[in-house]
Amino acid sequence: MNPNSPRSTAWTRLAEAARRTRFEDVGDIPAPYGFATRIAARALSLPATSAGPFFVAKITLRVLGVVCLLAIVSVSVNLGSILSDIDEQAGKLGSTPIEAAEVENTIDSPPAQPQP
Amino acid sequence: MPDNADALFDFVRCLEQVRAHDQQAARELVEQLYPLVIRIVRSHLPRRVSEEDLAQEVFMKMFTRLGQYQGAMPLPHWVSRIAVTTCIDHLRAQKRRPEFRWADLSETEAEVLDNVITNENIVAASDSLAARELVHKLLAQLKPEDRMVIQMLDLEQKTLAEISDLTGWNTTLIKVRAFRARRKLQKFFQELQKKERS
Repeated sequence: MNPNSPRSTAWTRLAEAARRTRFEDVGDIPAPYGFATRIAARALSLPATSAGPFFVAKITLRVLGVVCLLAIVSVSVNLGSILSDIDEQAGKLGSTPIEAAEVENTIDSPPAQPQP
Repeated sequence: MPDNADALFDFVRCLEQVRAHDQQAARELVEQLYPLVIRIVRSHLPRRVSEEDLAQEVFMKMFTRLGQYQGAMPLPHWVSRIAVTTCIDHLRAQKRRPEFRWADLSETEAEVLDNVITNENIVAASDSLAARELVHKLLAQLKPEDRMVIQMLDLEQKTLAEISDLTGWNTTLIKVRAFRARRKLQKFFQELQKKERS
């Protein structure tokens, strides 16, 4: 079922009927009296904005994108060596009985006394 | 779309004068662009928003962003994009769209809807106004961007290139939005048909 097919659908029939009512032609209608003067006065009383901040923001976003891309690429390139380093460190840590030492420390330490 | 009057008007000179704080030039610019802006605003006017307020908002945005205009495209195209995005922002701000129910339709609208759903016949010319009302109620169910595209394509019969100029969206995006809107409308008609039968 292709909604773009030229075959007549309920929507195309309805749209065709709606198109028969002439949309008001506003091409030649001028702005209401005083509209342009009011807008011009208000607009020119505003402080002028320069294109500078807009372009700085645009460039900053692009630089941020490039930096993120570089970070992802460098992590993915060095992932192997990072993982092997972690494995190595984990192997070294595995030989020391950290957990046992921690348990002993908690048993030896006296219970905390409530402060008066 | 820039018409003959726009083609004759010297936007470059006028812009230079506006940038030099010439109030007369600013007034001329507003008067020149008013028909373009009001045409977009009227055809995509959200409920409970005055067209003059919306047009004023578009022009104020135009003046505050004038520093960003680099002349890469004709000024009327740039302004029409501001008008389109302003209308979309207002349509989006409405958040809750009114639910479309058979019970809320007038007798003529219900007849027209029944006619287009069940018959392959063309709607009578006398029912065109009801059809137009119905179309507006149906379009209110769509996302603002999809609504804008389908309205320009199927009601105003603009070409993809014209819509692209007005909105700044590329033709692929416009086609995707039109496809999505038509599919949703088709699904909607099927649901309405089921409800009527039940």
